[in-house]
Amino acid sequence: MASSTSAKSRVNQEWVPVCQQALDSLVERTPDILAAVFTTSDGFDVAAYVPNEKISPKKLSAMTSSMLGLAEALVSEAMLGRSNDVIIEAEKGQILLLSVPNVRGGLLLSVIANQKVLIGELLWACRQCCATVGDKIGNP
Amino acid sequence: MSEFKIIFTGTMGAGKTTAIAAISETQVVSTDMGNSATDEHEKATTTVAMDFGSITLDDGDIVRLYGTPGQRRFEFMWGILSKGALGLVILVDNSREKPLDDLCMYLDNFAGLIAETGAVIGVTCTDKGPGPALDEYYEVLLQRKLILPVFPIDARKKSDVLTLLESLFSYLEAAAR
Repeated sequence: MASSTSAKSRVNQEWVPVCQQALDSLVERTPDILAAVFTTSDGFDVAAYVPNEKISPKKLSAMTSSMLGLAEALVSEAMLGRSNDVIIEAEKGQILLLSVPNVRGGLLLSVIANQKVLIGELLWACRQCCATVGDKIGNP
Repeated sequence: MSEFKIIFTGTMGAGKTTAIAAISETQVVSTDMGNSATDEHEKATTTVAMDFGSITLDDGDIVRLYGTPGQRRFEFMWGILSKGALGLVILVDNSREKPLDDLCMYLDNFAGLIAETGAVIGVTCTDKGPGPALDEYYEVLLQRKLILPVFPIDARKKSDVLTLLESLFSYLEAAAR
């Protein structure tokens, strides 16, 4: 398992073990996950499961931040309330981007899965993962 | 009536979002998130995807204003936003540690767009410390065989930002001849 420790000074250190544990548990339960990263809302990686060295956790984090930032702006423009998840269906898999509830400053989860994954199951597992993290470090 | 796309780029806190908001006729679409990199800049939020606004020129042409994220880890957005752009505005925060290095970084990363179209440099925060003089900016540009307009501006002032845009359009017209 590859995990990034970059820019830890810019990340709340109490979040790191909570997020890492949640990722380990998520990946164990869902073997179709190829990579997953917790990131701050402005794109710094907090904890990562990225076994494929060709995928950069740092870049994944920044892109997750941009995508969810843009999704939020789009949802606001469309007057649809709060933005929740972003699902990207690709030729060879799926990407899910989610916000962890109730975390001051914002915490995001990005998950890459293969094409065998059932999107409903993946979404449920990822939401559970976010809820667990939100319960532990969030401010309801 | 034509529509043009102009890109605003520069370091975090240089005033890109502010400059677009200062001149945009439409409410600016922004993607600001809480800033964790307070060691880089103390501001509370930072752009993570883009800013978007627009302005209508006297002749009826519409200019779409796109602001890039400033931090380098978002550089993948720079290429995405630059597609089809007519020109580039680089904002440099003169109060940062090495503003001329900042300028060089953006000149390098947007070299393709600058060569194909053109750019103008707006130097901000000139009142916040003894940063480099404008001559030093011109020297850096000359070393790269670039002759681009450089202006000290206050990104909050509509007139300053409009001056910057007018200068860019004059440059682009002259370059097209």
